[in-house]
Amino acid sequence: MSLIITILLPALFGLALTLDIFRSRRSRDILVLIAVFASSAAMWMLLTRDSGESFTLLGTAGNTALSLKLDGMGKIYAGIAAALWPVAAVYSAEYMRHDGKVRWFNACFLFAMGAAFGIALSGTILTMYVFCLLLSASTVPLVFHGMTKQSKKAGRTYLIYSVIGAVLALAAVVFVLLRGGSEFGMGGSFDPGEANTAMTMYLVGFMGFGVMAAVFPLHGWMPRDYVVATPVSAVLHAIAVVNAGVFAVIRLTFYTFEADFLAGTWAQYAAMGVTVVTIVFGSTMARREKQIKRRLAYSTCSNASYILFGVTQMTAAGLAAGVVHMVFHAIFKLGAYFAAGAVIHRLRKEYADDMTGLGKRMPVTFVCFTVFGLALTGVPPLNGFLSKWLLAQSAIETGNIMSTIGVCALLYSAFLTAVYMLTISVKAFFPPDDGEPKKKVRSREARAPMLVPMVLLALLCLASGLFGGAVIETVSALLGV
Amino acid sequence: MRNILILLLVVFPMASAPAVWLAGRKNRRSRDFAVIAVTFIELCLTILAAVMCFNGEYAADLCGINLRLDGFRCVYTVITAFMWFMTALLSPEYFAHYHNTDRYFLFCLLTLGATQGVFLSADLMTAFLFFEVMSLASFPWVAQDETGDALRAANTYLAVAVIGGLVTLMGMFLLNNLTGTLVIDELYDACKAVSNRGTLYTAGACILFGFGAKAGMFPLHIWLPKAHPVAPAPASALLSGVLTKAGVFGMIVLCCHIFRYDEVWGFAMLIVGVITMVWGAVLGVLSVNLKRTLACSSMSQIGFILTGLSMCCLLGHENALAARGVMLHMVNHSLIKLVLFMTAGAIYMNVHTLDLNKLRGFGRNKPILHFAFLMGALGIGGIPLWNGYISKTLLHESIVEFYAESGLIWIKIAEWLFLIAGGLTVAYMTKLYVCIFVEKNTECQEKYDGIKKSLSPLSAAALIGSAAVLPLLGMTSGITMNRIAELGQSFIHGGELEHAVNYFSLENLKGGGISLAIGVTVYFLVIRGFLMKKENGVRVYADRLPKWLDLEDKVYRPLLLKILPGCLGPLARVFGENKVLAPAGKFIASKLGLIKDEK
Repeated sequence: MSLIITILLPALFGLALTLDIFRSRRSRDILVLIAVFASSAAMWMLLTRDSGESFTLLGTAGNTALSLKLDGMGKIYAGIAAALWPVAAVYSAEYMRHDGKVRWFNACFLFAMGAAFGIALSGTILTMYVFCLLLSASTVPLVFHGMTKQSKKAGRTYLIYSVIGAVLALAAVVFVLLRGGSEFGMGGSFDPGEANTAMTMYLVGFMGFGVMAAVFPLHGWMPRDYVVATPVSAVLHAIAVVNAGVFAVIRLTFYTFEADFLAGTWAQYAAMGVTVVTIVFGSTMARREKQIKRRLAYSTCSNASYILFGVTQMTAAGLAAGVVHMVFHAIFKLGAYFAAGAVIHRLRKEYADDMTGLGKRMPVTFVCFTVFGLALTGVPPLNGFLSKWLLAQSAIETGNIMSTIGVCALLYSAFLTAVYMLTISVKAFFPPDDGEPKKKVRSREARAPMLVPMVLLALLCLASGLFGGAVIETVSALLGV
Repeated sequence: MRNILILLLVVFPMASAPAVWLAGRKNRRSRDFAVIAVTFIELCLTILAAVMCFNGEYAADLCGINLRLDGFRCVYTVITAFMWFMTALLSPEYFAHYHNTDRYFLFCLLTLGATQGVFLSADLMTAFLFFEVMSLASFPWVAQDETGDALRAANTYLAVAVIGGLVTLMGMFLLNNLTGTLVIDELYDACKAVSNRGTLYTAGACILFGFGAKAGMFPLHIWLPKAHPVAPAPASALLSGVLTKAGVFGMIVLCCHIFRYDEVWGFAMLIVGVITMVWGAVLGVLSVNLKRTLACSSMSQIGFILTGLSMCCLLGHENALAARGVMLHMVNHSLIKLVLFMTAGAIYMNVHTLDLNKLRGFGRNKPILHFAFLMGALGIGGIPLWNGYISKTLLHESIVEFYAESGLIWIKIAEWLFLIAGGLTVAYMTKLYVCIFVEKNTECQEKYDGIKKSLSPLSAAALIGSAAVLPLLGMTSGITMNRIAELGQSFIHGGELEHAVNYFSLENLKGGGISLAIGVTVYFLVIRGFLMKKENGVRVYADRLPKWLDLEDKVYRPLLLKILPGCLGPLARVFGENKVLAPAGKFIASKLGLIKDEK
């Protein structure tokens, strides 16, 4: 029972928000914050319980029942969402301060939170599919929100890609249900039958859910939505949608199909090949891209595939490495969006070349941005190093040729990450001397509600890097590997 | 207690860095005092640790960071702290008219902690961690001036550090996968058991890439001659004296642990080492910039050390001479470069130029500068009674020994190249010495002579203090230097010395003499002949280095900035922006009647 309440809590708050009783912006802001913190607290209370609790939402005949279940993998995704959503909400409240029409925006923000919780707690593939649709449905209005020509276009693109993904995923879901798929379980939940058909359907499902994780060539929605408000991009890319896609692929690979069944087959090579191509592609494009949010979007594209690269190794170590990267990536990518958003919000500068010399105007923001950049590149002792190390280590252990290519792709991508993240920091802090005498510049640092989340995340990057052993142990224990 | 002390060596400077930065925001003087105090305390701590270490080695382990203290590490932590302290003494005067000095000191102390971490690390993972922090924290040193040249050099430095780090990481993946351990002391046994030698050599080469780049090994030395001239002098002294040694630390792990007694690796290192040694010296002779010459000299001296390391591999169990030579040449080079770069800094802060033709004659009638520079020059030139002679003799003897053992003609050639590189060292140091302290400046000699008080007492103390060490070590070699060499052996793994080396025997003096003769010949024939030209009736030093010899501009930058993105970029663009897939999808959809044609 507590499972469904946790999912419904943010959604109910969202509904309350759409009522006409909250007229002043202050009361609405406070309600959103209360909603997010309360839902997040409820989720944390749930997470402290033992795994195994389940709840049937809709009992129907056969295996098409909708049911919820609390297990280790779900706890990790729910934990990421519950921990980072409040941070994003605080930031968002400040960022959207001058936006006139935030009622539906905030409501959708809360619906999305409920949907993300739903995905985390889903007990069967059909339930997860339904919540994925709900997540898409509640995030589409967020992309449309600005209602400018560009954001309408971005929204349409996002909608189209979501539909493509939904259709592909549905095919896989139907296949699994027809073959008698039941509740998620490590080591597969159904009898795949004829191997080649099953593997084809796995790939269809991989691509379908992969749309949310922006795997090549279905990544197109991601760089388009740079026109939307920064907190939305941040939540979409760092917490909710991308991680939901990755999470769904993990559920599909390890909890529906069996990893051992897929390991060593052409399906594994194909899926892994897609992730390797996405890694190379995403970082190459990120380097080419000058608009900072598009750059971060392409970076997310490649980083989501880092995680999937771990998953498609089809080993326990690979899964653990991927999930650890999922946790860390959420932290530093959220932070990187926050820092970029702060610059856009305060100085209206959004191109990499415009960042020259801004380090003196927004020192804290750019120090944080540098920390996130270094973490993203994978510089020790920050957390990104640890997860990349695990990913490459588990890849080399599997010993197949595609994994070795993947490790080279990881290194190539790490180099480009250094280029596309650190050039911004270098420009910001070390502007070329143009011969003019140095003027004292007025600080234009963002206000506390934007600054504090950023600094917290930067510290978290360092802490989770230094005490990474604890994170790895927790993740492994939750996954039971 | 011991464990806390060893951690403190790393943590203390890093923790005090923000405090120093904050102090600098309030007041310049208190910050300068704080920097000197912090580095002095660090020096005391290292000495305390070294003294305690005599009771046996000890180790510390904190969240995966594995530190260890033995003879070699004692010597190098003390030297690191000593050099930081000396440059801190020079800094208040040097940075008096600089901008952004708080930033410099912040990163200076962060780098100190990280460098200590590299030298103290007991496994490659820890070494890599601190190595990366060190590389990145020293980036702002190079960019300090924020001029176009400085930023370009800084970007090169950063690129080399990042790429080097990644390649090293790749090597560590491979090594860990082959051996299952990265603990330095376990690597020899683990690597000996590896049957797949090809992969092991690949792993070694990858690890060498990153550490070699930092040390200035050919062909990855490109950052070195560019970064040193633009960095502030105290920073150059540290970059050249200590940070390159962090690279050498990694190479010692490779040559003396992973590939101990491995001949293939030894020959590969010999080739790289000899090229680095000779090419650095040639660049030094050709340079017309004071700090660039010193930077090229650093590269060349690293080549000497690499040659010594290759001999450690090649000589097998009889590598006592080579191992002691490596240890001593590392120490000597650190101390000598400290003196020389600080002298260069003292000159620069008075005349604000590094061009030899402009600062010509500045050193006349300035006894402190004269003394310091002369000590450094004699030390690095390998003149008997100064410290450089001792280590070069040992290295030379080890090559001779290997020639006697193997009889390979290549080794004879290597020996001669060794002597020639030594000669070139004498030549470019003579060039600098004559230019600064002997020749007169035709334009502003009176102005230069007018600068009587060119140094503050603090700076003078730093210069004299660090310069006096050099002959002191050289003249008491039997006691001090042998002791230092012995301390390094538990880490470098040299064999037992069969009999004490008589540094001043005729045989050994002969090697030094040959180098000296080559040096004098090169100086008079090449430098005074070919490398000088007449300009307005005055003989000036000419820059005869051909532009096409610049590896960075001709090879690396085009490769990284043009060719790689040129291949992958368009591909990514065609597919990525959906220039192909989206129109194709639209075309199919419109044919099927799913969407209306937009026209």
